[in-house]
Amino acid sequence: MFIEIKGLCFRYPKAPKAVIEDFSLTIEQGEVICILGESGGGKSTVLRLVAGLEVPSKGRIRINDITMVDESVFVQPEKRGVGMVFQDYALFPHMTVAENIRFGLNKMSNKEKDHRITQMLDLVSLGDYKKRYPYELSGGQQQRVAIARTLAPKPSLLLLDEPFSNLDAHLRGKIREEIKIILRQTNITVIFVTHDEEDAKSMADRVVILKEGKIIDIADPKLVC
Amino acid sequence: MRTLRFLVNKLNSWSVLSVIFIVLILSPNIDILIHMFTKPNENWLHIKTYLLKDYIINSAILVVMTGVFCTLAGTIMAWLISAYNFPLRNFFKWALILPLAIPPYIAAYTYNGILDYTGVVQTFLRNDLGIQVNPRYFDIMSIYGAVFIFTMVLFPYVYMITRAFLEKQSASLIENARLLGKNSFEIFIYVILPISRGAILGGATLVALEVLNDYGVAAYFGVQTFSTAIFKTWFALGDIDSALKLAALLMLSVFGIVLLEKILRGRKKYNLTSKVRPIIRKQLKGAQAFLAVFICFVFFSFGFIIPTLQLLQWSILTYEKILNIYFIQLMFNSVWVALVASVLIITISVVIANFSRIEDNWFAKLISKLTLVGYSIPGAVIAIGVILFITQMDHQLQWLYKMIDPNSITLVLGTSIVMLLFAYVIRFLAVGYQSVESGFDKVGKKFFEASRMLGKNVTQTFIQVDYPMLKPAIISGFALTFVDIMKELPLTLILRPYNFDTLATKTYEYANNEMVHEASIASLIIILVSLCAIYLLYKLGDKEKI
Repeated sequence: MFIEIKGLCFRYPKAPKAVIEDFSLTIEQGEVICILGESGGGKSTVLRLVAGLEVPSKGRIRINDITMVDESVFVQPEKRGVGMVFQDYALFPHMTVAENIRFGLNKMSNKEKDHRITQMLDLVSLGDYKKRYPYELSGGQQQRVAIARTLAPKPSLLLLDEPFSNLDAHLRGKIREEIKIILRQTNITVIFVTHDEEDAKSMADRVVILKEGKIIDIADPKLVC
Repeated sequence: MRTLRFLVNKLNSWSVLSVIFIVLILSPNIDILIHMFTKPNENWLHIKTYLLKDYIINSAILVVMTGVFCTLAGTIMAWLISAYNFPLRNFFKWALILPLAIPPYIAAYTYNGILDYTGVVQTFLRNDLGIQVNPRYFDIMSIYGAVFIFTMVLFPYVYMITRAFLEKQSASLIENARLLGKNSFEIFIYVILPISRGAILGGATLVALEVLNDYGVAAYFGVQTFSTAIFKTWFALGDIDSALKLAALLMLSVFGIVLLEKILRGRKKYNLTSKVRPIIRKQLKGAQAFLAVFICFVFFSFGFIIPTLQLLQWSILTYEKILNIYFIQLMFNSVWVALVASVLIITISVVIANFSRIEDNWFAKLISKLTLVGYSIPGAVIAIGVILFITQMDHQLQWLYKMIDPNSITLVLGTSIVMLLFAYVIRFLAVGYQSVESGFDKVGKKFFEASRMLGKNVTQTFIQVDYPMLKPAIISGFALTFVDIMKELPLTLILRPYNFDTLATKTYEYANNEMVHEASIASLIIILVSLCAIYLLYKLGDKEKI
């Protein structure tokens, strides 16, 4: 067991209802988990809780046998070794593609960093785009840079927040396949959230169906709908 | 356990520093309020019985009359510029902001110089036209003269805010009113005034706060207001307790005004979020166009052209005498003190704004709101609060001073520039903070979160991600604070160390010693620096529209 989430609850101050209620899930190393649900159903909140960007009101998260959060512990997001690709990518606009990827590389010599940047850009097939700024890239290219940036520091877990929602319909299928290949190549554990069943079917090993903050089913993607 | 987790999670250098800064900034003000309840002495009874009524009446006359005139002038001109086309409209659109570059105390002594017996007006009447007039008719040194001065240089506050608001309003509002059979005057009264209420009140409140903050005009014209009374009680009577009581009363009336604004503004908000078709301006012709140009021209002339030209003429007469090494020293003093204070203000603003963005809870919001308190508190009140606070600190730190130097004097901080810098930070923090905060609002939180996920802590994220994106907001915040500090008079006058003069204090000193001509060059420099800031504001406003 690589990730253990137990009894997770989250509510915003003064909100009458909890956004997440009693969310429990275990994930094995290398597994790709999809959280499927309608918008506003608390999917992204689960990712933010795992990432450490929100503090749960109850519950426990353990990654690789280390407690990230429980009643008495809270590990800051930068110390968790978790990578996250944001819905709108959040590429730093004042940095080039290479600088964006370099940003997350710590404790490495410059030579090693350069090598890693080249390696990541080759992985996402953007080798020639090193010196471009984010605004000079298409939506699909920006997303691939965001994935490269997140994977560069070798996180133990990758979180993807609605990874395809900002892409045109005709690009979706193509990019989904590309991302799938990239993820398989790196053999990384992934949690991604989406409201699109197609995403779930084509990429996930298991699908968690979330409704109004509660898990209503954990299923094989082929059996979803 | 959960409390411990909360503390460990929340306690970092940003939150701790934010709390320390706010406590430091509030302490002098709280000190004043506490002193309101100390036992009154004989002086206070005398002040209360014979003088307080005059202070209240005079301050009220100044605030109410200036407020009414500024509101009328500012709103009418905002409406003219937003709804009509007339000759020179584009020029007046920004020219009507320029009077803000002239600090009221400079306008006061300049107008007195123009109108007194040896001034250009009476000399012209006497020597060129041979008319002997009673000099009394030209005496501006009265409470009504002060209202004139304040109105002429402060009306742009109402004009600017109301115009900006009207520019965002939809044309369909006015077109509908027109289709319903209303003429231009009726539309102004029944549609424009009610919807602009919030903007007009916002401008009028700024005017009222500026009038209450003033020391220079009232002291020069000999009008007894709260601010002048605080100075007099303290310096002439040497009675700090009574001065503190007056300061507390003035502070309460300021809070009253701010509260009144909130109540009058009501709950109604007419903010239109969607994109609107702007008001299409109507072309004015003939007499109407002439009247519009005339109104704008009169206010522009009295608020800016006349005093500036007069100062220019005086500076030609005196520059040989004034421009010497001492003058360079004055400029240097003004610049470095404003520079240091602005750097402090921007640093504190960045720390608190970043803390409030990250935490996003009631406590952080409260801290963020408290940064704005100082701007509404008049200089005289802040000055007395700071002296009291720093003196207390000096007494607390005696052991330290004695340890460093056994022959140390009692007041170490109290005789240094620290006191003045501290007061500037309290008074002008809001100016820098608002600019920095709007920068953080624009950048949002997503880059911050992305950076945290890539292994950087809050401080590393600030340096590598936030700061490069915040630069424009930081620069504009810095420029605005810098100019406000260069112009500032009451705080500088009281709190500067012995023998430390700035352009503003020297200007005031010259004018007070009947040497108005000699004050002109320093005044022109202050006006020029302010013009730069106004230009910057205007440019930033333009950018935001795009």
